[in-house]
Amino acid sequence: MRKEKWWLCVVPLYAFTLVFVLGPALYMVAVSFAQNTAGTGFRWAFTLENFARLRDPVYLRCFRESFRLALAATALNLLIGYPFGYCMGRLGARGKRIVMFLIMVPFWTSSLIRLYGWIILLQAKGALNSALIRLGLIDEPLKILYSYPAVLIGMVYALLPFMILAVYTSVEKMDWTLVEAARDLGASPARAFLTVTLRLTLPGLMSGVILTFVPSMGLFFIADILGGNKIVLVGSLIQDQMTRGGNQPFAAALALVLAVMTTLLLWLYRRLTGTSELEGMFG
Amino acid sequence: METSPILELRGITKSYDGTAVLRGIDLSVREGDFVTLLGASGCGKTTILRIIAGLTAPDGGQVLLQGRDVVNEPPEKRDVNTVFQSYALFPHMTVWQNVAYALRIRGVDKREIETRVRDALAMVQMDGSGKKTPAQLSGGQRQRVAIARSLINHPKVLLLDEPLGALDLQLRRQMQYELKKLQQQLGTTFVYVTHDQEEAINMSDRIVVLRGGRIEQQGAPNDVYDRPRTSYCAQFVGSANVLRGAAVERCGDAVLLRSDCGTMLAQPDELPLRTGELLTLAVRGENIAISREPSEVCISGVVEANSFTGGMLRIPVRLCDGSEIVITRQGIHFDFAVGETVYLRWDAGAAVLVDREAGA
Repeated sequence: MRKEKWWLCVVPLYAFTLVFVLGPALYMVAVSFAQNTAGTGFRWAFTLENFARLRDPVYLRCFRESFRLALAATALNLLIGYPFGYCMGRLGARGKRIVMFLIMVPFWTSSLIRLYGWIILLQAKGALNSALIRLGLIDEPLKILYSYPAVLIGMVYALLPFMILAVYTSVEKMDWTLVEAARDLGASPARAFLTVTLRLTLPGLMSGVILTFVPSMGLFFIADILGGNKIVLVGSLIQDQMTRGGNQPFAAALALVLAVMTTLLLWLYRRLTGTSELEGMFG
Repeated sequence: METSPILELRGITKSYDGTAVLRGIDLSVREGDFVTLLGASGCGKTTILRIIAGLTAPDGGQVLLQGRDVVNEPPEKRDVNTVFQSYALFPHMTVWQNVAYALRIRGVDKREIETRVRDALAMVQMDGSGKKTPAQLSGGQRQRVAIARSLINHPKVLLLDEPLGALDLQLRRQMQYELKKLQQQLGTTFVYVTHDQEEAINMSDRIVVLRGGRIEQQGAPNDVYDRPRTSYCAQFVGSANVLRGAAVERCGDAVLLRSDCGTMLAQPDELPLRTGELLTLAVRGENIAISREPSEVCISGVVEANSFTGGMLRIPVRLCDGSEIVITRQGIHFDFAVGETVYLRWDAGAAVLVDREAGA
């Protein structure tokens, strides 16, 4: 193989990454250490005040809240998504196609429009409440909309497909003879699942966790639309500081902290599973 | 004294999507025997193994293990273990953990696990490889680990599903020998599935020939080889030539048959013969004499080719009715030219009448 040909392929790739990924990221890091000027912009003067501001209990609570919500959303996604992906992986070819189609259908509409759909479903006189009242399960309409549960529902709804597909990918690859071998060697169905199936689908499960946890830290518009401004997440905070608050350095500092936390999580993932690639993302 | 069978199948039937895979299998296996289920792919041999292991439920019939019907019991409750065709070693465990799996599941004491795993690995000459993962092993080594893993719990019956299928010829021969030796040392009952007649003949105490979900013939290897009951067994097990002819007469220890290509002799069986009855005989290539001169009883044909394969000379001869029979010879010397007309004959004792029940 000739070297120059090899370079022809790689150069545009590096150039693109440099200009559109690394450049903006470095810019963001730089801005996070710049000084905010009241009103319009910022001054290139080194300061740590943007990070110092993060110690304010208001912002700490915001991080804590985001973390808690992301954790809850991920846990729910796992509880629903793992069995779903597992069952989907065990379907026949036809069944798999149908379920895959059903999972993909929502993506044909804008996620914003789908969230408004949830408002219609969840509001006081909405479909859910009328159904529950008609069934006689409740007398008063539940105040779900613009509350923590509504945001949680929205998050789980938006991210569930990623969990399902990540789990499905690893279940699809399972060699079921191994489970038969475990049973043959004396393991009960539950024991065989824990010692073989779960262990071998762990990479899919872990990447599902990452794929749902990381975005749920930053999905501000779900909290904005379904939380009614009562729940402020880090994502909303960044957006707010960037636009209305007009404090770009502080927004950059917030984003940097979020990115570092996410990277730490990815590193933890690699350590725990011994895999360097996220299943479902890179095959 | 007649010992009761350790494993018995009674009237096992199974179909997939309306296609019958097993059409009533009755099989009885004595303790300590090496029994081989022999058949081409799709004959149902693997399904039988899976039904014994409990991995597939039969549509009907019984599976008796030491006289007890276990057909409704899950695989973990059955005292049988399986060596899978693909080995099915757990990729996320080391060799040691793979072999220890059955003992850990049963909560065997740690120190006992230690000694038993060591012994099992030594038994298959894999001591020292305990820390490796299956991915680091060669095919033959994986095979050995799979055998150690399935034998560690001393099953009453060991089921082996084409365990040597993925190995190359030389390694396969060596493993045949080792498996047989292991089986004799342990005295464990082996039920072995293969499509390779040579493997079946080399290793088994008993061969069960399967075809289309039915047992075609069963018996000792010599028995099936020398006295095939059907043309299928004759061809599949002994690679014999199958010829048809009408019965002319019986004289003593021989039956005279006539076909379009001449006359032939066969060994009579205990069933009655009618003159003019169409019979099928099986005769193996090495027992056929070939000459340029016709004799009193012979058939004629034309030498098609000669090829040296598998340490043997194979000479296909085209008969006048268009069918082909193959003569085999040791060595590489053959005095006849391709295209030459030759006359073939054999002793009555070398030809067995087959398909007798089917024709009646």
